[in-house]
Amino acid sequence: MRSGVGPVKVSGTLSTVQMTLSSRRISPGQALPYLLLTLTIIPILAGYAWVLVATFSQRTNGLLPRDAQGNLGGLTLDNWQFLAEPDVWKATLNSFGIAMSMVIGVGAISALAAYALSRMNFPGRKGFLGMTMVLHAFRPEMLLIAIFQVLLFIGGIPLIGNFFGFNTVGGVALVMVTLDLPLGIWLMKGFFDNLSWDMERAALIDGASRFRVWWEILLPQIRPGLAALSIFMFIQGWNAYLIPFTFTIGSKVANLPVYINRFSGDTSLVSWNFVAAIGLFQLIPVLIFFIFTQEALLNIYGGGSKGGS
Amino acid sequence: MSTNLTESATQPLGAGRGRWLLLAAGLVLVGCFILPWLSFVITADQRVALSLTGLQAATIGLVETTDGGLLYRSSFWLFLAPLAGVVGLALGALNLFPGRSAPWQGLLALFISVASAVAVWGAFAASQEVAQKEKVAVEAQWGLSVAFIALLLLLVGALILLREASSQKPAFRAALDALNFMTPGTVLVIVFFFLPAIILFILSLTDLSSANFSEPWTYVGFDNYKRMFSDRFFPKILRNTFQYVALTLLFFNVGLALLLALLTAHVSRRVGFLFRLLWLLPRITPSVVYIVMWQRIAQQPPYGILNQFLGWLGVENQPYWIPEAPWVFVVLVNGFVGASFGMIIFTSAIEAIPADLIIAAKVDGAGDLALIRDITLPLLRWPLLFVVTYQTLSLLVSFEYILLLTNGGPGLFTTEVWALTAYKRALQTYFGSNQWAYGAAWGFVLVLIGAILSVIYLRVFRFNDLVQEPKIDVL
Repeated sequence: MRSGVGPVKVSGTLSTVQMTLSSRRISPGQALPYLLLTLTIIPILAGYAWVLVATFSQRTNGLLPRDAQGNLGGLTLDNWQFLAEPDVWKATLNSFGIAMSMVIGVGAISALAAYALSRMNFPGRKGFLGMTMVLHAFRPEMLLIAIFQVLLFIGGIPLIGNFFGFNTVGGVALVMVTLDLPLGIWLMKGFFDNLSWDMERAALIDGASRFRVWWEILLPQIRPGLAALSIFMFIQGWNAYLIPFTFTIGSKVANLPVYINRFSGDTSLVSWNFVAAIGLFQLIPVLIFFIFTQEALLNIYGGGSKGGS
Repeated sequence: MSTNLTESATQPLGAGRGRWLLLAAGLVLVGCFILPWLSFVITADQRVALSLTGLQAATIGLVETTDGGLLYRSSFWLFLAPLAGVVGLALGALNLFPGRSAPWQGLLALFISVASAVAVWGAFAASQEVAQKEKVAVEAQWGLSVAFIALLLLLVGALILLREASSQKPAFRAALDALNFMTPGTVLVIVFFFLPAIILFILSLTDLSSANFSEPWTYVGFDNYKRMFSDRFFPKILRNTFQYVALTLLFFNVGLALLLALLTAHVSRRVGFLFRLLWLLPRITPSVVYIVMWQRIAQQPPYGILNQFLGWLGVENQPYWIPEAPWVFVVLVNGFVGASFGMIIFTSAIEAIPADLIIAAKVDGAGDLALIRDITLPLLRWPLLFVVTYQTLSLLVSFEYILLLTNGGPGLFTTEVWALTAYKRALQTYFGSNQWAYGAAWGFVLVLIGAILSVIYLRVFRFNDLVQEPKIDVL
């Protein structure tokens, strides 16, 4: 199922060979990779360590918790007082809404389109595939300027504009879903291409409709792929900063990252430990996925990463 | 069992759904029209009628009212909406009897629903201006909104009807099938990729900014582009962009990625997996939190983590490191996110190298370094090329981390890259001025470069091989 994602993985070749051929005794040459790996990872670990420590302390010097007098100690739960604020929960709800829209929107729409692209012949198929490939390789964040105008326009449509226009969670979700569609379509198409033809064909000959075949026969077979895409999309939506920041004004529609950034930006007096606490609060779902779905994460990020950097 | 299935083959799924949609939408539309009209007849109060919906305005001649000034300017074409309702009801009723559906019915419903939706939309837009002043108009807007949604339902009903009627012809049906699956994705891609790309270009030929926002756009030719290329900081921004892409790519997205892939392949399997996983952390960390971590690492004493280490080593110079060495941090911050992509691609390529090759080389007495040089690296040529090209594009347009870390500073344009310039000109408010058009010019050039590059890459990576593989049915 996973082989649809990127290069095919052949298990246990190089490192197994290494293990069997080289002696078990650790020589300086063998310790070197471990040393290098540990050294390079230090900044990431330090960053995470700071978040964990700072969350529960009054202030931190380096990675050490300090109290108000500057002595070692000063552990506290005060930083978590933000949990009592309704604004945080509103932002959390918005974040969750965007993330779930990504999961459902990208999942459903790309599964539909990918099925047609994988199984049907229709005019424009090749053109559409080529286009999604280009869009996948080149995530046009630059289009945000023009998308802004589109959202303003949508805001003028009766009723629909109230939910999907500029400065709405729906509008943000719609834009984010679309920007990740090319990736979703390519991944999904890979999953469909790997499925056997037989059951589907039998059902079609027996007179089932295309939609029924898609829903009852194909989707259950690609469930693992769908789950992986969902995790990816949830994290993407949950972490989203740039698009919500660009297309929303005010606290009513801010999501968590936008909310946090208001406290750590240049202009405000930074309360670092508070920022750390709320940052950890936002990290929790991501870390849960990280711990429980490692294999899927590694595969999906190799298969088709978004631009990022 | 088999007879059942054959029956459903002749009668396509969803048959008869169109008529219910038509009936419901028609009922709502006619109701939108009749209810206010009735209330107007009974109470003889124009305000009551208006507060329910704007639809009746065309028929009862309510163009402008005098009491309370201009309430609502109606359009004659609004009359189409109740007409569409009647048509929907009639067609829906007609289709209650079997064997009465025909393509012309779907076409008729399609035409009238689109026409009246446009009319309602126009009236809604016109009433928005009034809405700011008059509460009544706001209430009329709700009526218009309901009518608009009903018209959309009618449209869907018409499409289903059209489909049902024409599904007897197999060739037509196959095309419609594909259309069903492709429509949601295609619509979104058109609305949020293609339209914006065109709008971006048109916008870059105007002088739209927050100063003249409410006026119609003025065509100014290529002035924005001229202004861009003659900008005092243009060479600086160009150099920054090049520096950013080249350094991050060389040292991290490819360099470190390759190093990590090789290293994790040469340690025990479980440890390798653990480290690869840890390197994913920056990618899945929310960018805002990630940047806070780096800011905290670089803080001045006694807060900064880096400076704490330096203090233990006895180094005296302990500034806030980000303004001190902005470029180091821009590259580091982006590179630590970017490295994982190449790492995963390279790892799967390395793991796919046949074991025979390595055993043979080992038997011949090759050491680790010789192995890497003579076997692994040559076999990584294609993944390497792929990562370089893909990440060049990604880096070219990415600016989120720079925006959060330095926002182009410290000082003037120190770390400002092309993409960030476009974004800041257009969408970040400096003293309340958004220069949308000027930013669009910056953005469009980048979009153009990216599009051309990706088309070239597609040729290099033999796109046609990718497109041709799948099973295409010939039913």
